[in-house]
Amino acid sequence: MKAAIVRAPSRNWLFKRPDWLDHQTAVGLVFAVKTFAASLLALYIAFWAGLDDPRWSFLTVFVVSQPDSGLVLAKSFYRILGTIAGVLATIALVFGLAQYGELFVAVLAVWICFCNFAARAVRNFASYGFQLAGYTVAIIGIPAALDPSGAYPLLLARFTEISLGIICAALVSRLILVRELSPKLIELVRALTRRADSFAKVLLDADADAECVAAERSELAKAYLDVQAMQRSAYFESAEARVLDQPLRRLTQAAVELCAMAEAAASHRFGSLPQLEENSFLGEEVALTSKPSTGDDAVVAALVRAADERDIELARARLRGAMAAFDRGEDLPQPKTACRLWSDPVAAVLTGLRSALAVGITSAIWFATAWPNGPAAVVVAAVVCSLLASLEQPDKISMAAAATVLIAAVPVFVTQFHLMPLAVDFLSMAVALAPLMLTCGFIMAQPQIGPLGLLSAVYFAFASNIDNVMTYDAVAFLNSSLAILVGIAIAVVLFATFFPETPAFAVRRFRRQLVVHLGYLANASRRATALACYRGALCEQLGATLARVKDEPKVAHECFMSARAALSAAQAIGHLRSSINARMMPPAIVAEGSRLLARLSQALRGPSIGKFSGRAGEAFALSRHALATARSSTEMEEIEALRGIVVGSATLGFGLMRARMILQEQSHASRT
Amino acid sequence: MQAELDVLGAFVPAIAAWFVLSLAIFVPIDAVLTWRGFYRLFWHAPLARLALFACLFCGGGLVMANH
Repeated sequence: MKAAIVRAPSRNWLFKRPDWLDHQTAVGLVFAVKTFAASLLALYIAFWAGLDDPRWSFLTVFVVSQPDSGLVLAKSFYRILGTIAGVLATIALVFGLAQYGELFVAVLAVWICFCNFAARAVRNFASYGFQLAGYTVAIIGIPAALDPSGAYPLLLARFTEISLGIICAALVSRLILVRELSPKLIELVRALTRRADSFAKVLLDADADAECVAAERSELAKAYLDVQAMQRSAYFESAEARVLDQPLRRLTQAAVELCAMAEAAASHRFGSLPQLEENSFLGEEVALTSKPSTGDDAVVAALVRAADERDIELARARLRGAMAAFDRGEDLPQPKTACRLWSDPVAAVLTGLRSALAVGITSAIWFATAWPNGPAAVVVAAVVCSLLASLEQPDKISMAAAATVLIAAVPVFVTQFHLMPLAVDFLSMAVALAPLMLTCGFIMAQPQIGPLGLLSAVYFAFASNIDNVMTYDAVAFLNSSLAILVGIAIAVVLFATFFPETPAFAVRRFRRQLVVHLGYLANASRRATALACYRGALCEQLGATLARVKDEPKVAHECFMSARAALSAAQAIGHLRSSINARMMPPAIVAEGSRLLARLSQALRGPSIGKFSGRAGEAFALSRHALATARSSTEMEEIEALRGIVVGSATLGFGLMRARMILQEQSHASRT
Repeated sequence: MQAELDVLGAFVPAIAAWFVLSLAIFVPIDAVLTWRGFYRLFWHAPLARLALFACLFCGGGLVMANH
């Protein structure tokens, strides 16, 4: 790792990259020129090799191109995997079912449904790979099924053209004016750790402005999501990026740990219990450690406060240690951690069914009307339903896509029917393509409107017919444009009507995920990493849910409160679990603690307010029992271990009482 | 070297199979060279990487073609 980190300065003295190259406009221009050059290279090789349909290479270059080289490589890798899977499925479908039209379309819909279901289980470009495996079958399979005798050469030709496009895009992005992702990622992780450190301080400050804390929390969740997305792509960039992967993950994890500890401590200090009932022995409307109280309560409050402070100090020391080790270029001797992210099966099933319905409805229109451009509409409906389903507000984005197609139709038409006929050789064709494709490339590099530029480029490649021998058919162009609009329209209608993913739905599913995974945590076998994984996955899910509810601050606040309650309960479970495993623990306490965790895990499988109250009561009882045992014990080591149980069970009881809030709000939301 | 390989009934160019194999060979070599700081010697590390891969792929292809 040392070599990887100290490498940069030694190269910089040879070639200092000018600062203006990092300006947004310069980035856009450089990206546009690079992408256009890569697409021309792909097109030239496709012409030279006499491939069937060179526009697929041209189109693929635009699809996989991104301003940062790591992103291009990651997207290319998953595109190749998705294409291979799609081509294999196409072979099975075309050679098995080509003569049964309706059955072919039905199986196609089921395949796309399955792929889109699987796509929701992973993130970023891996998810794209699954989506691609689904709709590749529509793109390649439908033309192949319509002409089964030429199906095999067609499949091979598409695969070759797409691979050529990917290779050209990857080469150009990696060799010419490279914008590496790793330095950006390192900077982002450093910023995240600094932010987490200062956030932990602010959170424990009683005088801190609540709005500032909420805004900072939201920014942290977003930053974490960005780091996660970038980390997965940077892995593909180079061997040194792979060397940096684990240290950066550890830094991110340490930052999340510190934030989680601080959140839990803050909820113990400043939080108040809603409708505290008979089970509490801490007093009504009392935060765990803020108010002076008497007897057992005071002792427990003092113990919890001391434990919180110790945990925060340890987490802070771990974070600073990890930062210092990273700066020195050393790797800390810690085991590699690989955590699975949460995926919501309900949302995944709905996405799959929606895309299958889109294929079914569009195919029904195609079959009923014998529309010659029906296949194009089916492909577009499948692609839009796959690609846009995981974005926030997919119906609005689909509408924006339709508007973009309508607007882009004019420059695309002018390029295709007024500029391209003037071309007499490859060079003049490149000049004819330049205005449109450079503009598309420039738009693609802009953060907010990038996908619209990509859509215009894909629309041109799809509707035009770039080949060695050009054919100009305005009617065919207008018909395929109409088919694209019909495909998008069907997707819009389905996004808006078929179980739309509204903010309320997103929050409901988020709360459900919190409870379900808390149950897994209570039952987890790998204790140490399970808590860290829960924290990381919760932050990721929180960031994704917040992106969906960003227009509704009240809903976003509810999300935060639920996440905080779940995090607090998770910390307590972790604490209790590690205390139970201590060496000098009396067997009766161990048995009681293990029983509590097992019953808690069961309760979380079918959660109810009553069950949560019951388990909270048991946790408080365990805390009292442990405190009484500690008072009668003379062994220092045993007392220390029992303190852990007192703290763990008291905070668990408190966390569960807060977690009832998740259920109360959930039942309230489902009634309204 | 055979011009084409029979993979499950489909004829695949041997050079394509060698391309995939040479990629698999190159990845660990690349990791070792990075670890030893070899790429620090170059101004444009990705270009050096590509050149090394081209040497491996083309060299291997030539050796196999002559046997």
